Amino acid sequence: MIMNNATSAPPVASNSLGREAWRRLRQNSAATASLVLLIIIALACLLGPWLTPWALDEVDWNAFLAPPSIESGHYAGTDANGRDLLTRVFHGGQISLSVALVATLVSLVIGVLYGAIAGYVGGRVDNLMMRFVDIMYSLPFMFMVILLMVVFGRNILLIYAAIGAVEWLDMSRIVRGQVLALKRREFVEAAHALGVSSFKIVTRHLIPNAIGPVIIYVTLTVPKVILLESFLSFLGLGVQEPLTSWGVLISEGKDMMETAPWMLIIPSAFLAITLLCLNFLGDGLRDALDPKTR
Amino acid sequence: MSQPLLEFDRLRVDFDLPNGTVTAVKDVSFTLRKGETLALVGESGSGKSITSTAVMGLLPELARATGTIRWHGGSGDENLLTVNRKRLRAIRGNEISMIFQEPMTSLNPMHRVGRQIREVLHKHTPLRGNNAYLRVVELLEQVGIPEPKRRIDSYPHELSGGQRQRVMIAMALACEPQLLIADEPTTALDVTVQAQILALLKDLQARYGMAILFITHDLGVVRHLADSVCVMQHGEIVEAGATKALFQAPQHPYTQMLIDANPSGHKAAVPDSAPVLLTAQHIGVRFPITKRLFGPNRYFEAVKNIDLTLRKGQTLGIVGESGSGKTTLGRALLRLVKSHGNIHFDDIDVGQLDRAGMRPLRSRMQVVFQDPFGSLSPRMTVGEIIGEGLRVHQPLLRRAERDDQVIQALEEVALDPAHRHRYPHEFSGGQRQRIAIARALVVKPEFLLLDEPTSALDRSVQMTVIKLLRDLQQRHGLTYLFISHDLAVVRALADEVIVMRQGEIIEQNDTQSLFNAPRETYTRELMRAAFLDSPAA
Repeated sequence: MIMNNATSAPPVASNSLGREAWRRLRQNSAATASLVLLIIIALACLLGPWLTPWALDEVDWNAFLAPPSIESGHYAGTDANGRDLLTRVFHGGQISLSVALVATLVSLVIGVLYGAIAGYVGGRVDNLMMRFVDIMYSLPFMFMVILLMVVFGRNILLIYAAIGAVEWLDMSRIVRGQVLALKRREFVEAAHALGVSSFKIVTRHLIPNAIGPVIIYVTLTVPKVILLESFLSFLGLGVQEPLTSWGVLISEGKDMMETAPWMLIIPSAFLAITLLCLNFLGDGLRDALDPKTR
Repeated sequence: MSQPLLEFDRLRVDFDLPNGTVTAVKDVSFTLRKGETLALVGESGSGKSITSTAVMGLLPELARATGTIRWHGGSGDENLLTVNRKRLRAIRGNEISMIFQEPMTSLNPMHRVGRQIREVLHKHTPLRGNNAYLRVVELLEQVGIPEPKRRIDSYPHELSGGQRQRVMIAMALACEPQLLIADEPTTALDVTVQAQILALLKDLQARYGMAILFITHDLGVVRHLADSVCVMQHGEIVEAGATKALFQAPQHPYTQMLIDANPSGHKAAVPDSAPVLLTAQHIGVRFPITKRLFGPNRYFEAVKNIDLTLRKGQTLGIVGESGSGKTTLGRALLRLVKSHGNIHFDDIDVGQLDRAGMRPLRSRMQVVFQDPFGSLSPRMTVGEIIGEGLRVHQPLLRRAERDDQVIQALEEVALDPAHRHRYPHEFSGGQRQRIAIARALVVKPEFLLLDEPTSALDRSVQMTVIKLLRDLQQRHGLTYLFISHDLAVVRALADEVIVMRQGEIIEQNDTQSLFNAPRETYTRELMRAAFLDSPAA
């Protein structure tokens, strides 16, 4: 059967892995729908604050803990201070999504490169690099964040830096494990025998073949980062009033669950839908990047 | 003639796949009698393994089986395709048992072998406690495990491949089954071990009077073991009959092809005046076993003090069993593993060169590996894989020029150049091996290291790859170092042969003399185990 596929189908035009992957991704309806939905959420968070009639910290003295209604203009209700919830959800989304994006990118770039190099070079270098990772692991995360705050003062950028600095550790371990297994494969040896440079072997042969677990891990990292940020904010180390994030909104909503359920439900729904979409998109990407799935 | 034990009647297995139905087995009918050995022979994809798993009710979920498989081993006639699960479980391991190809993976690495055999006894017999223990020792003794009382507490990784297969056989025999299904039981083993296992199976069959359904791709094995043979191709039995008659007068062209598929032909030796391409002196490779911070490390010497010379146009064959160091030696010559000793390639002392220094030489010495599934990166197109060497050695080449050379290389190995945009998984094993050869050829090497290039392929595909290698050698005046455990292939391709064992050369001679008059006992043993003493009919 395999042979038939290879011999009887008409020849296809030259396609890079990227374009091929894009085509396969679009065939996956769940992944495509998720991608569209994610873009809509991101756009809403970016543009939304200008579209709603309320400002982020504007208090409506007529509506404290008002339920969602169309007449009052508070489409998602207000919080205990009379601030418009929808505006705050959009603002919070900006912070949450950007933290997720930056921290994940940082963990992706540093973690993948670091892990791939440690795994490929092996021996003493691998030992030193991974012991450094162990030391980073053993430093208490909170201690590190507080230290950064003390040194640099309170700044939202520090949150990005702190979370990114921790998240790449897991990634580097995962990639290193993959690369250790892959580098014994004969195609790597064949590349070696062709005189391909180490850098090219890592980037062309090892990393693309380790991409499956990496993508799965990325989809797991995003929710983790969003929750980590809300945890920091809850402790007073993250974003501060009147700025907000989804995590903060959810934790505020949790306290008002019985009197004002919308304060919990609406930000939670945004977070849940985003994470669900990311999972579908992650699965779709993993399949699309694997030439074996057609 | 004895009574029938297992009767296949028009067995048909269909797979319902999303893009249509694929028929894996078509109208297979044959009868296996009590105490008889029947061999199902065919190449990969012929449906022989599917047929055997249908007996045990182990077909994949997507499969749909029709027809009947009559089992006369129990208390009356049963159709194995329709009996209920409970009865099937009682049959499995008790009346019918099975041994598999991979002795490494079919034993559970977490449990002692004695316990794994006991598990079978517990399930199907009333033996418990000390009685069960004694039975396990007895079984291990019967399958020829030395010191069974000690080995009963071994973990699978402490045993050799042959011993693991013996343990598998002991498990299969635990309940004295009436039928043993052996699915390529010796394919993963060295030839000498294979000969021992086959002898053991024959011996046990005589003792227990069981029938054996033997599935294999290797006709050499069949001739020495089976009473009758069914040859399968594309899911159908194309020819069946008694072993002797079938081998003497094969009717179907496919059977003839399989029997003739022992590679033939010889290579003439190159004249002594041919220039020397590669010399190696005192080559040794050792791997550390223990790494200690203080004190001396212990080493395992994979290759010990080997000298060899390769002349232009020569094919030097290296044979040996697994662990003989033949692969390590080949890699050391290409400087893919660290070694000590002197290596000169075309009068350049390559032993002293580092990676960057080796790079210009890499285009002159290339390698083709054994596993066509592992040697091609699954995420690159065939064109990218073949073109990679050109990127390294001719970086100034324009895209279109590189593409031209890739097309040329594909044509050279008789593959359709239009397929260069496909990924390796879309090709069969033989096609992949051609791609691997094209990747090596595209940089125009003079010397090619062929590390078991045909071992993972079916016999008929092997023939075409061997022919290709021969043609290429003639066309381009290539020099080969051909590493293989398959003596038949080496005999057909090489003009000089080295026999290796435990890292040392134990015999070296030109091919004709070595095969006609082997000096060493080990060489003779190898040849006997490979059934080379009885040339194909």
